[in-house]
Amino acid sequence: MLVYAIRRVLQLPIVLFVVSVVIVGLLQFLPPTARAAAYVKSEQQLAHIDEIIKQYNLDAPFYVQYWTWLKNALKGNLGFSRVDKKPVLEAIATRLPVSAELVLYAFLPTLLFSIWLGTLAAIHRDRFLDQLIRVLAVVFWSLPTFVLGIALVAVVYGYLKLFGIGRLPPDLIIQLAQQANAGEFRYYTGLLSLDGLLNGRLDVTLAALKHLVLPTITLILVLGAQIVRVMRSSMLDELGKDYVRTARAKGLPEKVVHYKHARRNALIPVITLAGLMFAFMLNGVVITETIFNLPGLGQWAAAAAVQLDQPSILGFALFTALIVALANIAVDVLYALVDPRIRYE
Amino acid sequence: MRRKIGILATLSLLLGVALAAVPKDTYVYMTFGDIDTLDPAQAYDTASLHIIENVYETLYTYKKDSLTEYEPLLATSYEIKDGGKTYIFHLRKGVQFHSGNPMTCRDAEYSFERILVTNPGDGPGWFFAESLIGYDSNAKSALGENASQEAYDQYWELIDKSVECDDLYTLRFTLVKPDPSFFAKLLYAGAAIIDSKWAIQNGEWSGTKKDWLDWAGKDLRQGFLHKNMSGTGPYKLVKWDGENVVAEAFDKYWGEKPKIKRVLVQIVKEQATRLEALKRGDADRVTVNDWATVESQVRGLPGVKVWSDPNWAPAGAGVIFFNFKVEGEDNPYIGKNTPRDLFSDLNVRRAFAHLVDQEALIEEIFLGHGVKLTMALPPSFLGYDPTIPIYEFDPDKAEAYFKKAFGGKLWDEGFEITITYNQGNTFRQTIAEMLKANVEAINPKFRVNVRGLQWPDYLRSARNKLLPIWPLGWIADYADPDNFIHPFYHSKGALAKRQNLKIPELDRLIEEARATVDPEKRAEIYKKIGRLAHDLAVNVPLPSQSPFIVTRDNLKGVYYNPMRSGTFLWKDIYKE
Amino acid sequence: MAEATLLKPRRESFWRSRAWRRFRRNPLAIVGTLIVLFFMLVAIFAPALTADRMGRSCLRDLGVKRTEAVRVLRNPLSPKFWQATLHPPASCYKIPRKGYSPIPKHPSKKYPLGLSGGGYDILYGLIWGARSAFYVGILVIGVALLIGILIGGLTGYLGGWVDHALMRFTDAVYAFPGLVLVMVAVTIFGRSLTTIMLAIAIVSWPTYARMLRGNILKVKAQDFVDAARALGAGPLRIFFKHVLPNAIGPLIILASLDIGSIVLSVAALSFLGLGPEIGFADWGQMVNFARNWIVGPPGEPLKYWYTWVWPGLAIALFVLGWNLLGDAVRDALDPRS
Repeated sequence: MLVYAIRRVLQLPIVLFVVSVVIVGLLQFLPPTARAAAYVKSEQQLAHIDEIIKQYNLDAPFYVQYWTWLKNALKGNLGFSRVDKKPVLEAIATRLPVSAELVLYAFLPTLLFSIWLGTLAAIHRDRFLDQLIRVLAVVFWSLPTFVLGIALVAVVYGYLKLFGIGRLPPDLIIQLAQQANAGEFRYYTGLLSLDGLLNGRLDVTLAALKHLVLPTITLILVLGAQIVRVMRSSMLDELGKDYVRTARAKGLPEKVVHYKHARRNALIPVITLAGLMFAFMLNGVVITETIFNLPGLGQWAAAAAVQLDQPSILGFALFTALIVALANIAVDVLYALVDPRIRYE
Repeated sequence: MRRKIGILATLSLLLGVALAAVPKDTYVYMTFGDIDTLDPAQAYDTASLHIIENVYETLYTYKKDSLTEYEPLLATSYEIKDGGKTYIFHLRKGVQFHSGNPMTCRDAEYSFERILVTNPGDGPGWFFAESLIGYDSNAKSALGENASQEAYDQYWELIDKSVECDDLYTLRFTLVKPDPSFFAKLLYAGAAIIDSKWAIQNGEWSGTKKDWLDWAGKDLRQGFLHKNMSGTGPYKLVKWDGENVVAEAFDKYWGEKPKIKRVLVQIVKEQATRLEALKRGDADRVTVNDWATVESQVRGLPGVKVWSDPNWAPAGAGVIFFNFKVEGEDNPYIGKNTPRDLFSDLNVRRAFAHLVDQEALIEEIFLGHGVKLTMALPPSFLGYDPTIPIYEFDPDKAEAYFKKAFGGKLWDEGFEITITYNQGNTFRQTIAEMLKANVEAINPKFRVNVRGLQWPDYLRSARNKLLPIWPLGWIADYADPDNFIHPFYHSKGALAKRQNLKIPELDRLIEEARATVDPEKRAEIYKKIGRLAHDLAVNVPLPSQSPFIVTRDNLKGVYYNPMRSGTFLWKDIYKE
Repeated sequence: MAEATLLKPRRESFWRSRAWRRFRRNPLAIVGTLIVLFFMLVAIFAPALTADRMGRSCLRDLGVKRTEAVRVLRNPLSPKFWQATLHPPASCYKIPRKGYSPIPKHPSKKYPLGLSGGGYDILYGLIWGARSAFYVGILVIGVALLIGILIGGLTGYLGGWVDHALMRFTDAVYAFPGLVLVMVAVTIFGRSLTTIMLAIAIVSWPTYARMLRGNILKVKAQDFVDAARALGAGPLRIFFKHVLPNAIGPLIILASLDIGSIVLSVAALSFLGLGPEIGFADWGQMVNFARNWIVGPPGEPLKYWYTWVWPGLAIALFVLGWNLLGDAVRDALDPRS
């Protein structure tokens, strides 16, 4: 088991290599003038586009560009993000905590909420509750995230005047900026709710949480909708299995059958999903971050891709590939732990 | 019981009900433009210059909302000598930088030399360099990477001699030839005086010949001044962290202390979110996309004020460009059998001009808040002539011109072209579609396609002169007509180049205007240029949208200066 | 002896099979089928349905004059009808505009669903949007299936190191941040529908490859395959006659049920500014374009509801229909319930 896990981890660099080659390669399809898009933002700058191309070496052949990038990457320098106007690693380090905080607060509730609803739907199969849950799940899944997000902003934040947008209210932003400069407030983790506690500032933590409510709800609704359906069908699979019939035949109460046996085994695909939720989250996160104005990785990726900011795209792609690959490994290991029938060589 | 109260208290804190809006001494502005850099020698976009114009200061500046009245800022007086080749500025004494260092001529000299030395390709340095040293690009671009030491030394000499300090408070500029727009250029927010001692201490250029070549053409976004500022302005930068800029009032400011003590500029991409924040009072001013949104969603909001005035005019101009000779072998934007010099025929250009329905554009898109332009120059600029006729929408006249084009052949053979616009710009898309509808209605053999280009595509096509016809606009760098006339009408102009435009009479007039120092004489020349351009239908000027500002109604002192990136300065506003 | 036919189960007639009966009895299945059928009809007859409101370019490219449009395009005997229905020109996917005002206009007699910001006819967009939803969905799933079957089949058949290598490759593509790849591809190759479709297909095939491989392994382990081998059937014959048909069947059925969700990916791209261009008849594009009108003026917050409710409803119903259909099919095929 351990050997298997280690072997998978050692294969990670291959994945990263492939990802980087593909992206740099794709970008070569564009002629240098078009790739200068990341550097030329206005008509005035367009007048000097030839200088800019030379300055950033945009007309060098593919392997030269890739090699330059690789050399720097191995040294730890992933380039300069034109979107964020700072080194890529720094951009990731700044934005990761923002997305992480959002995902952290959304992850568990989403999982629990959907497991509960999915189980409910499966148990009451084909009856009204099941149908209701399924239809609602589809509606929330198909509702473009931004419609939900904007509706929440307008109704809850605008009309009901609750919660907030961005990470903190304006005066706290100003106050913290001044205090950070003076060394009175330290960003230990980048997760504002945590940093507030670590600095002894309960008001910061509460404000951060307040501002996370709406985006978290949006994410939960959108992601949860997808997971409810999977949970339901996997629960149905389990309930149809032989051992369930045996348990029923033995006279065990329904509740025990459901919760003690079926659900535990139905968890296997849920582990898959939990692991893959990181990938699913990406879509939802990009849109949620834009609407609620959270400067996280999703927002960064969207801007970088549209502006063809090669270093940022590469940095983001590698980072996500790494996370997803690690999640996959974790998922496979968890499988083996949960289901004794699964064995790896 | 106590637990219940505790929960309630936490809940209410969480819910934030009855939280006050932004305090009176704080100004919060939400906009969507990303800030590129805070280095004045590199910044060339509105969002960046908005911060720079409030934290740094220039020698002279515009008086409130006037484009023609100036007031001394870091300079108290100036003289022009040698027929316009020498400018001498007397600097203000007793001015402190945010770092505590006193301002002297040495800082001014450093600031301008730095602009000339670095002059990155995507920065504003070119228009200073062209006046002061005769080159418009930095040493490495102009001379090449492997020029002789002599050539580089010569370049340095030019820089060194162009900006000198006669004494501790006297700054002298020596131009290569008289440039009537030079003074206007000095009002550009990036022509700021920066704290040289502080910059040098923190790793910027030493200010001497020793390391100047290392800095030539450098991307200043990786330097110290990219996100650190030490200026003389009424506000000092507290922090820029990507989407928030926090600034606070500078207590040692040399001038009148501003009433607003703290400023937050936030980037919020989604308009719906900005508007909700405005309604809630979490923002004092927000950027609104267009008049349509203002009229349908903003007007009438309690606590919100829409500022506008028909006399306000933006410092920008847009036209529809015609490409006199379309290039490119496999050009997807023009039909195979369509003559590449389609627009070289005056009749064709006039026909198209008569098919742009300016009234409809103003009514439908700007909801009536717009003004037609007679030439590619903002109406408030010197030399604008409102009496020049505008081609009215007239399909009959257009048809007559088409029938005359190419000796009558065009009418029988037809043509196929593609009007392009940059994707996302609905105004330009609408113009394109409107033109398409109007042209195709005249003759079924005239096929006009409309295509949205992504920015990278657009860059490539424009530079290679592939586009046959396209709408485009330009915002002023400095308040001088040459900043528009040259790019739009001179054969070597940045925009006209892509049209393969070459009209010798226009070139001659433009160069004459550049050499004329007397403003009245200059104005006459520009009017002549405008009239000639109209007669030749070199391009079709498009109407300008009247500007508006949307704020909370307790914000006072708001004004509109088209040359200010933020339309007004923070130090001039206050809240009731 | 030696005939494998002895082991072939007797095929039930479809209409009397248990699966169909189970399907028929499920009310949600009927609802799903009806919804999908409805959209299919709307999509197929789009030109006829919108003959009275077609745009000038579309009419011009079809060679039909506006005065005769309704007559010709609703007449199944006319060749133009078939041309429009089977292979309409690209310009027909551009929603015609009435005026250019950025403010949406309320539903009226001529424009029963209203005009979106920019004067776009919402009804036209909805109808042709059904077409593009099917078009994109089918193409994307088709391409993804092709690649997935190829790779999944190869690994299943060959096994060994080929299996290992291909699976690692599949994992790599899987781990690839798909959204980023799609975004980059679209930015580079343009916002044309073809690019978008290809890009989404290329990031979707790993799921199918894995599924097919999983199915193949399951089928291979079943008794009847052992029996066939015992009777002397060669590996190729076993694979193509016994294993593959049983493995692919469920895959294709399940994959085709994903058609409904492609429409959502395109909508997400529209949000990022990478979808089809403004004015193209795509529901996601229409909702996205309406996003500045979700909140109306003070006092009338839902004033412009029609700009986003109609396309949003279309998306939701479309996805719902496919979903219900999918669940019902899956349930019907499930031998254990």
